Amino acid sequence: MLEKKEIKVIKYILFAIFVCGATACTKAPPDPAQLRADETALVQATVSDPARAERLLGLLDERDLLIEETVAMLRQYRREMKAVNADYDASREIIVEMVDYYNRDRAQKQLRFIDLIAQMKAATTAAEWQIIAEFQLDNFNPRQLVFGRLRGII
Amino acid sequence: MLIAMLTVFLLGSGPLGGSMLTPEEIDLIGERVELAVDDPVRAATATEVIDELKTEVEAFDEIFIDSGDTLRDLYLDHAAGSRETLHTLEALNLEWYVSQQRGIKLRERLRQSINAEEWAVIFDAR
Repeated sequence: MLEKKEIKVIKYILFAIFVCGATACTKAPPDPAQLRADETALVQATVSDPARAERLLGLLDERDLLIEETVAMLRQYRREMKAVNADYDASREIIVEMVDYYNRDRAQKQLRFIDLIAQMKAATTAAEWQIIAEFQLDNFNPRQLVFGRLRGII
Repeated sequence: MLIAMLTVFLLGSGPLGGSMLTPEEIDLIGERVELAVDDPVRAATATEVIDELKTEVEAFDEIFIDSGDTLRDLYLDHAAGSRETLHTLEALNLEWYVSQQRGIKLRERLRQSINAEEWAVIFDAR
């Protein structure tokens, strides 16, 4: 026989499981606009110097534009490559040329990302960067933003 | 609805990625090949190529993940300079290129065992 205390614990666990299943643990996808607003607020709260904070916010806008450009580039490339691949008679040379073009374009955008990262670090102290970068990687990882958004488009 | 999966593969891929070519998706290509190619000899050859494609994708996925871990550490490290990040991306890009070239060769081999009508069924149906 279970003791009263054990029954109480079990009831509590069952209630917690129910609540978790009904609300908190059914994690809704994050709202990108809200996350972006949170990022701005985090920068303003973390970077002590207003001028540096403004500078960083400007760089975040540039990052967003670069993400958009990269996603658009990939979408176009994938559309073109899909069409070429569907063509049974498409030559190897055409495919190689397309891949090379894509690789060059991607490398160029990588360089722009690297430059932006360097500028963002320069606009922050190490302690500030630690806080902001962790938030960014959890919510605005460039790789996830670029590739994650392309799911299912082909 | 079938997507042009080889197309995706040629882009390079990774588990984070959107329409990344996953081993499961390659299995779907394999199923399509089985349905589209009646000749057992050619079907077997095509399946062999598909298996190689799967191995290739799995290998590149690991490289992609590893590079992501490195890039994450470099991003977090305020003292890490652009040179280290560039070095990591250049190494990734080289692997990406090699994987793409293998993908192109595999496409050619697949094409040799599949006729135009079968190809259309496998890659062009949506």
